[in-house]
Order: sequence, then structure tokens, then C-alpha cells
Amino acid sequence: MVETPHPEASAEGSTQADNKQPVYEVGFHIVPTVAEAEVGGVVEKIRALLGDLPDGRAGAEIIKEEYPHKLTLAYAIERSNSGKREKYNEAYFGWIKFATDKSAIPALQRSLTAMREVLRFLVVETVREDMAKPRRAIFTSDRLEGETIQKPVAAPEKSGEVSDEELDKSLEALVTP
Amino acid sequence: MQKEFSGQIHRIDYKDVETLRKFLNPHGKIMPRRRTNLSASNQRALAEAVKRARFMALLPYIVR
Repeated sequence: MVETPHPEASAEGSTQADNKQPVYEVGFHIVPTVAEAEVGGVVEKIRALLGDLPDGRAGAEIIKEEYPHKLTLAYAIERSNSGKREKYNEAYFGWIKFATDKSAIPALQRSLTAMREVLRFLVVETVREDMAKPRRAIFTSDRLEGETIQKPVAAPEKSGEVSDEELDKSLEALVTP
Repeated sequence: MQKEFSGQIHRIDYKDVETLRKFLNPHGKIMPRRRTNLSASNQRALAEAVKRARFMALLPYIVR
């Protein structure tokens, strides 16, 4: 899918004053048939696509990236590979944020489409600043800390036998107001 | 777009599936503005982000 940059989106990149190049981000899924150890090689291939342009201009400036990690897809992605259907339920998802010339994007999209290791990709225009949600400190409890109010301790009752006289006395004391 | 979004200052991103899920109903549909209480521009950004996440199979199109 080709994302056409919104006219407002380019105005959003306020910190691009130092260099006028727009900032893009490519998110991609690498097929799970690639071994865990070989994922790095595929990432290097994608980074190479962002390298120097064929007409001699300098390549993209990589701002930030996330190494692909395996995740379960929300739905099965199917694609045909020389007449055979391939179905994938998981993939390695990674992304690279970079600043480059607008004219370099169609070529990048063509190259990524041609890469068999890339299951699906999405190029979006973004901003230089971090999109990540700042994690707030979590306070486990807002309860007031302090002394616990204790239950008043009753006078210890005398153990042992109680004589009838004493019993009568205490009963009298209870009955008479 | 840097505005208050779910009580915190940050941008709406399609990769932040955890946050986007809060704005979906159990069927995976985007909640209306009267439920999300987002500004018009943030609601548009949310819809855009959810659709991007669906394309990248990070979120489902439908939940049966």
C-alpha cells in the first residue's frame, strides 16, 4: 500500500529546519521462514536500499530503528509465490525511521516489493521526534502511610474458678444501671 | 500533532497497538468520537493509525 503524504504532515516536521529533508518511516514484516540469525542480514539489505541514490546523491540519514522481533499477526497474510499460495500467521516486525529526499521513496517501495523476504511493508511520513509513549512511573498505592489504628486492648480476664459470690456481684453491677 | 491523548502527551502511532486497542470495541471497530472524547483532529489521526495497524496485521479488521 502506498501512503501519500498529507500536505499537513510535511508541515508537522517542525524540527526539520536543520535539513529540509522530510522524515519517513518504513515498517516491514520479514517472513518467518527466515532463520532468527539471518534476520540481521535482511535488515542490512533494507538499510542498503536507503543508501546512496543511483544518481550520486547522498543516501538517507537513519534516525532510529527497531530490530525485527517475531510476533503473531492479527490475521493470516496470504501471498502467491510462483502460483503457490503461502500463508503466514507470524512474522518478524521491524521499522526504520530515516530522512531522505522525496524522490527516493518510489524506488524504495519498488525494491521492497521485489524482496521476497519482505512479506509486507508500509512507508509513512512522520516526524523526527520520538513517537513512543513516555512511560510514567507507576505508584503501587496512594494510601496514606502512617500508624495503623489498633483495636483497643481489653483488660485481660482473670482465669480460673469464679466463686458464686463474685459472680452475683458482677451480675448485679451489670443489671443495676 | 502533539496533544493530550489518553491523558498523556504523545503522538498517535500505528505501532502503539496497546494504546490503539483502547479505542476499539470488542468487534475491532473504531469507537465514535462521543465514546473516545477525542478532538476532531486526534480522532482522524486515530482512525489513520488504526487503519495502518490493520494493514500491517498488527490489529484485526474484524473480530467475530
